[in-house]
Amino acid sequence: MARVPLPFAARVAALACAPFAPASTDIAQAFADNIDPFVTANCVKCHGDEKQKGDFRFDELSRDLNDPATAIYWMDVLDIVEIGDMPPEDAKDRPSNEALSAFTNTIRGALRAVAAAHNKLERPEIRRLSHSAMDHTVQDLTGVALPLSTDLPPDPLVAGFDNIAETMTISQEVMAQLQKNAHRVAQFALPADQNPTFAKTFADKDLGVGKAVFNLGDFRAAFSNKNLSHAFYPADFAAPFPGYYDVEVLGFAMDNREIIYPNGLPDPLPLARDKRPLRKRIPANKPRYVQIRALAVLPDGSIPQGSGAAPPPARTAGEFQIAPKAEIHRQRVWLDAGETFYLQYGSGIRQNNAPIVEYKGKQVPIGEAIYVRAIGIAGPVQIQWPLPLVELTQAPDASPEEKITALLTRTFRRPVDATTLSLYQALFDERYAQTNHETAAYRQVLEAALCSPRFLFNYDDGPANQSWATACRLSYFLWNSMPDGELFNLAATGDLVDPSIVGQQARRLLADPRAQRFVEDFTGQWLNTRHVGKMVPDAKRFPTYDKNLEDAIKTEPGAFFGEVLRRNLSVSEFIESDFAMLNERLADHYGIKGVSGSEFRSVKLPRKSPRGGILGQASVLTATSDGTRTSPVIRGIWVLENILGGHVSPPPADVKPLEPDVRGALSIREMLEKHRTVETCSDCHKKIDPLGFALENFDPIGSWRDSYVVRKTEDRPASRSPIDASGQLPDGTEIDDFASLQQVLLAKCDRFAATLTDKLFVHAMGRLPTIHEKHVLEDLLAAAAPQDYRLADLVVALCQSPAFLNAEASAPTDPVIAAISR
Amino acid sequence: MSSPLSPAFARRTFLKGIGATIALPFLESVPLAAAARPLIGTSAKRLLCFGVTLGMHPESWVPSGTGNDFKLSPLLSPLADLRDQISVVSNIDHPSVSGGHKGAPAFLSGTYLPERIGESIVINNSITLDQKVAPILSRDCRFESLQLSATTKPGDAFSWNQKGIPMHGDGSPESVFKKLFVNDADPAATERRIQVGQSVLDAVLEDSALLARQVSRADQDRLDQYMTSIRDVEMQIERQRAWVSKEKPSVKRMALTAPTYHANLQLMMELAALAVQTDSTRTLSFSLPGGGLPIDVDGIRVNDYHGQSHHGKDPKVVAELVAIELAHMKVFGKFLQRLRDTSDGDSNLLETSQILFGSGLGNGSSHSNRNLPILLAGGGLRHGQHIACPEGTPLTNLFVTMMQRLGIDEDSFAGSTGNLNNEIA
Repeated sequence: MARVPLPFAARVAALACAPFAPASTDIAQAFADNIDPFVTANCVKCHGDEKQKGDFRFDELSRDLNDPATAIYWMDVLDIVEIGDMPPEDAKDRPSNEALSAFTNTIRGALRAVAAAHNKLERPEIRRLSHSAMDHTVQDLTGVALPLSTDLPPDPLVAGFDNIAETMTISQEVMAQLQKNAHRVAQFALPADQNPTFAKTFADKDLGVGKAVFNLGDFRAAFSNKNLSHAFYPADFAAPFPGYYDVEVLGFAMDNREIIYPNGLPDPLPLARDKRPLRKRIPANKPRYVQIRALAVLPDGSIPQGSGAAPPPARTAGEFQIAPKAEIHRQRVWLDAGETFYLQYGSGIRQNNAPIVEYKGKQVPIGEAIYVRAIGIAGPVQIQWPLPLVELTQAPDASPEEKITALLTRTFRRPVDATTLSLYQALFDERYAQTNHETAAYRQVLEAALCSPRFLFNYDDGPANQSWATACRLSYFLWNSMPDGELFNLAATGDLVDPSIVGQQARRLLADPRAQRFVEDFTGQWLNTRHVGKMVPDAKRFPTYDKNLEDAIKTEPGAFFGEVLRRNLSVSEFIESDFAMLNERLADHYGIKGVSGSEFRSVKLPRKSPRGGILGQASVLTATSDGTRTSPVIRGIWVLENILGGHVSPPPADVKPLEPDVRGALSIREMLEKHRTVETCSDCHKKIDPLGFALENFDPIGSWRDSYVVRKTEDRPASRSPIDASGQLPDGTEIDDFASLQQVLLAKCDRFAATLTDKLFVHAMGRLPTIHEKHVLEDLLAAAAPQDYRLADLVVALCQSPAFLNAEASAPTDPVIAAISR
Repeated sequence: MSSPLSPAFARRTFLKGIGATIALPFLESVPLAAAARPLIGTSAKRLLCFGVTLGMHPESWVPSGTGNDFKLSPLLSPLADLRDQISVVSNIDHPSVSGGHKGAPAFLSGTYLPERIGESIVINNSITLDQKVAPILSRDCRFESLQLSATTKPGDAFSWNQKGIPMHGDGSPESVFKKLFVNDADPAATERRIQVGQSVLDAVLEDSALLARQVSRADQDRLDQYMTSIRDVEMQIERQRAWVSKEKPSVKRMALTAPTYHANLQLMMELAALAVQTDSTRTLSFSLPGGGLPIDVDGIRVNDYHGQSHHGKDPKVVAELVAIELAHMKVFGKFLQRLRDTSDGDSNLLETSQILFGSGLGNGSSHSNRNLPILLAGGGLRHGQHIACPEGTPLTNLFVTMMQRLGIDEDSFAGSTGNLNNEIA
């Protein structure tokens, strides 16, 4: 039952709505006429004095909707009856549909009337930038891809989102690190040097190699080893500037044993220097990867060697697949100023000393190795030069005061008043007096501006500045970054209060490539795909799972959402679609033929493919598993919360948690059946489990399976048992398998559209909707229903809604409310 | 040079003045009565806390027998040589804490404040034992406290400050070594940098006050939090300034990379021992998270520590889990011996330290927060015993005894109902 446990209720209410004013007597009358008789006839037997199923009783529930906590309870009542969970399907004398809708309409009408009357009370709107928003903003402001969020402690997730105003706190730890980062950003946003962009090829003597790398003429060869002695690197290179660099590698990887011994391996095998024969090999069809590991150069400009057998501390900046034929591999990697990198063959056979044999007159190492001819570097790329802030601060014919004003206006996304300006002007003067260096003084201003709450927060500061606030809300929602010139110009005219202009701008922003930032940010949180890879699947059981597949799995939801958004398709595509967004690796994983290359593209799916929609995507299926086994409970809750907008309370504190015991060889279905015999467990699990069971044909990495593998134990051999994906929902709906689950969910597409819109609202506003705003969203959905809830239309409508524009809502139009408020 | 428009600069000059007359300006933040209290009847002057994120397998942890005649359990066997310098406490936990993994960070705070925002639950926390005692114990050290970790995986934080903000452990030997023992290459430049940084913070703080006037009252609360954080940074900077030109202790160079969980754990524990030995701090918390580096046990790669903790009673998986936990205890045992073998005045580092090892999870497999594994070692406490408390004894009762034995005048801590002075003091 979707009930808020009491200790939390007040909190939710405070967030959801401000305290209400006194109720109208009309509402009391409506309750007496329509609610009380219904409750007495249908509810109190299980939720009253005698029994308190779900820990909930009607007889003690207040009718005073002015009390926020009470209002929340009634909203839950409404939800549960509308979903069809209550009254139970098997109840004797179940009320007629007419009686049910009279009941729900009265509650809804009363809630709407009360909520609308109280929506205008003050609530916090100020909201700190999320980490990704900070970084995108710095990139757009300075033209430099320099993260401001480096080493900041992660913000907690609320409802899966990390951009909820309530929990995006600032502590000493955050502030100290932010200032450090702002200082660095300022150095590079206003650099002393000229354009650092360069391109160079590192071959022959410029190709640095570890001491165990073989020189075979044009190519150098190394074995798989983490030690720097088996690495390749650009000699005497350090990135002059932080940013993205295109790295090219001409090379290949192969096992040369077949070439050297075309008639089979000799017996005995040649021995390595450590006297061990080289027996191991990797299957030819298994993909091989090379890692690009980045690290800071030493003060003398050389690459750190690490200590003893251990490699130097470095981070993986990129990775590419390598094949047995020589070709150029291209990777874009981010390097900090002063960083270099080395190449490491990570997926060959770990080996220190190769046996060396004579082949065609040359001493050749045998075994699996990587061969590199040259490394090319070009960059930094994606950088506007001259940098925008350099241009701004070096503008001729402008006074420092004008330049500081321009700098602050862009950074703060608002006009700057004289008092504020004087603070930063004083900072400029102080630094200029110390250094006699204008650039240093502007850097100081920028550093402070990046630490200022005017940069770190978005906020509403009154009707006069409403257009500026809306410009930011639009750009941070749809680009996850600051407004561009056009939005700034519109804000200055004050026109961004007009819903039709806001609608045009929303469509313009959605058509811009920067909208992909919104898509990635939103899908990563909504579908929890950021979770993919946190529990790495067991390599023995899932040998096909590797970094490349993981990347493809993580990319699919964003690509799919982006496609639905771009084509303005119905949100029902998220439940079932006849296409999927795939690349070769993911298509292989799904057993879909005819897709080649690493680019994602729209692929028409074969009939009856389970891969159309999000539920058949490996991302969701992997994120809801623990890397070893699937959990119908976790997956069921996922479907309930993300598709149906339902929610379940955590198990009550007095219920002893199940300690899983696999020794009895119970299947997950048998374990859960046992669990459901306990009444306290049954109420929730009968809602959750059938949804999860329907997904059991997908294994922990989202591959299709028809049976379980039952692991062998001391007293039984390994075996297989068939999967039963069927189940029955509390309202009696039968589910046979995954395809029938999709049909069941399609029939509830209204609820899904509402759920998705709710999540979009949370993402856009950084808070939960108030009760009144929920009603506004309902109206917005009702308007979108005839076109089957097209995604882009929904997003635009949300941007035009009163909450988004911080405008007063129009009067409610529902006839029931009209009747009650009369 | 300062502008007449900017009182912030004047305020900074004022702060500087205080810094010049009082050697350690951060003393202000220490309750003087507590700070001045002499350490009577105990030789322990520091507190070292170790927390295991995933708990310890109960059947392999709890010793058999109680009192002085207890028999070491399999997981405690690596501590056999130290039997008389350790005690195990069982049937003890934080009675109000539940929530499985979410409750585990309450290990050192005893407080569990779930807050429901919509359908999500966010766990708030309050000050932990180590942070409570840190300002007093470490008042003359370079670092008020240190938070270390076996790996760089951002697992649970075991230290939470006064405002309930987590302080995450640093698991990188390189960075901890640098922090503790590598001198600032150019202290004068750092000093200048600090001054410039203060100008920035002063201006920003003043700007916040201006902004606060432009936004709604509800928004002002959130700005207040921001302004508090700036003032906190300014306090921290004062401490930093007091130490910036003082030389750091010098220690022998050591290899600072390790490929596996337990090799890194050993390295980090050595750094913890060095931090104690050089008196860089007297308060330290150390977390053993549920992963972050490959785990090799007896040469066998164990992939999924968290998976093992949910063993479902499968004997093979239980054996793997216990092997991982035994590896923790072997390294921890070496650490204790290392402290015992290092002299500290007339005594040794083990005698002069109070050490707590445990977890906020009683049983990882069932996500239970009951009956936590708790082990004590070091000075100031009566050891060589297994204390089986009455079921449901608050762990914070033990914290009260620990604080008192550290010479801190407190008789309660987060929901404590008494103390364990009779049992262990």
